[in-house]
Amino acid sequence: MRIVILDPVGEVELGSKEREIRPESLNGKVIGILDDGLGGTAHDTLNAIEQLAKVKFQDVQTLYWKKPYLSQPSPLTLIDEIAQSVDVAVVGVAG
Amino acid sequence: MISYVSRDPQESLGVVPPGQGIATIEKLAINSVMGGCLPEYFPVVIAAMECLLDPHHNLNGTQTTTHCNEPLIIVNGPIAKELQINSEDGVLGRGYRANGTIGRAIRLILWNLGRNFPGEVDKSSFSHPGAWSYCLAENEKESPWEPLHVERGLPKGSNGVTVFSCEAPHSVVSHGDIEETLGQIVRSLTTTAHNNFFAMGELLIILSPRDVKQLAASGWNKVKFKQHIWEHTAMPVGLRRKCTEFAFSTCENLLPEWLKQADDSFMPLTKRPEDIHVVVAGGQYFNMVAPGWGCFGGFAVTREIKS
Repeated sequence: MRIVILDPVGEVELGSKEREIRPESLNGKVIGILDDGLGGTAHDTLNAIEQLAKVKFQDVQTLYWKKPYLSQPSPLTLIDEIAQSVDVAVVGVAG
Repeated sequence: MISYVSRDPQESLGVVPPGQGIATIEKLAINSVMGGCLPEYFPVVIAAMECLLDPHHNLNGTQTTTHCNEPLIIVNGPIAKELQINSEDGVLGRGYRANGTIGRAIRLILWNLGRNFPGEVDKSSFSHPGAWSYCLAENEKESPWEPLHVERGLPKGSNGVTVFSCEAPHSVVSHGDIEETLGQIVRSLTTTAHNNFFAMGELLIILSPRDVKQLAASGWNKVKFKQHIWEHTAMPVGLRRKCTEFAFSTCENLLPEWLKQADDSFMPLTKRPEDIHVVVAGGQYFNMVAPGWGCFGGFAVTREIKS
């Protein structure tokens, strides 16, 4: 008897994008911050990240965005806008 | 399972967030078999997945939120009887293979394709037992009112599935007359504990055959019933202000307009009476209420079951 084992786990469409090389330093970089929009400590956390970056690195500039709707993923247009405006980005901060 | 629906195994219904697993007919079938479904149940599973993958439902949100909502599958039409999907006594409990396994198949699909493991990407603080399986049929035979799927646009006599992500059902004791029934439902919903309290959205009421017949005999239709519940569950803005402002504290652009009103003014739990969903099911006594996730998602979506 031939036994076929089926996998219940869904396959994922893998894109061809490779991960960007992380900068060795944030000196002189533009940091994008994307606020998930959920309440609680998110705002304080983002402020702390911003302050920490300015203390630890020189000539850091931060840019700030909020997701249009907190319970849905960011629109790709927003992701593209952030990607074109910054050197690095902090995303997924909330809660 | 696949041959029963005569569909291409590689046909995709979309991707299941947050893991982005591709929802092919084959993968849905594998998980349905694992859930214990008979082949005849598979069209219901497919239609339920079509509901869940509709962007309006916001599955990505329901799969990852800290809230406890879980997808409730509501089956309407002749197929409910054909498949012996329970709509009567113990409707949300045990004893019926179709209810148990259709709900279980959906959970396995959300798990294996969406990869929302509890404590990892699934941040639900508590969830609820319906996460294992949460499926019922409407008791159309005992209901004088228009069934849910017809109310939501499907033809009379058709088979339909509605998925609404909601809390666990809360019992509403009701042994009296219409006034008592309405009052008990209103009082059960006017608590400060659920998400409708601060974020509106949608909610579900499951009426017993006894009470819906009592209402209908006295001239109440579903529209009038919803309007009554909508008006009488309105709660003071002042009571809701602090919770609402905190929840939306970093997204002022989403702050509800109603917060601009005076503290002593009253606002309903949903934007519109139509956002209160009403289904007839269960035994003769008690009713059930199940609040939703608020304005964030889990909204009801209905699809025809294609056999």
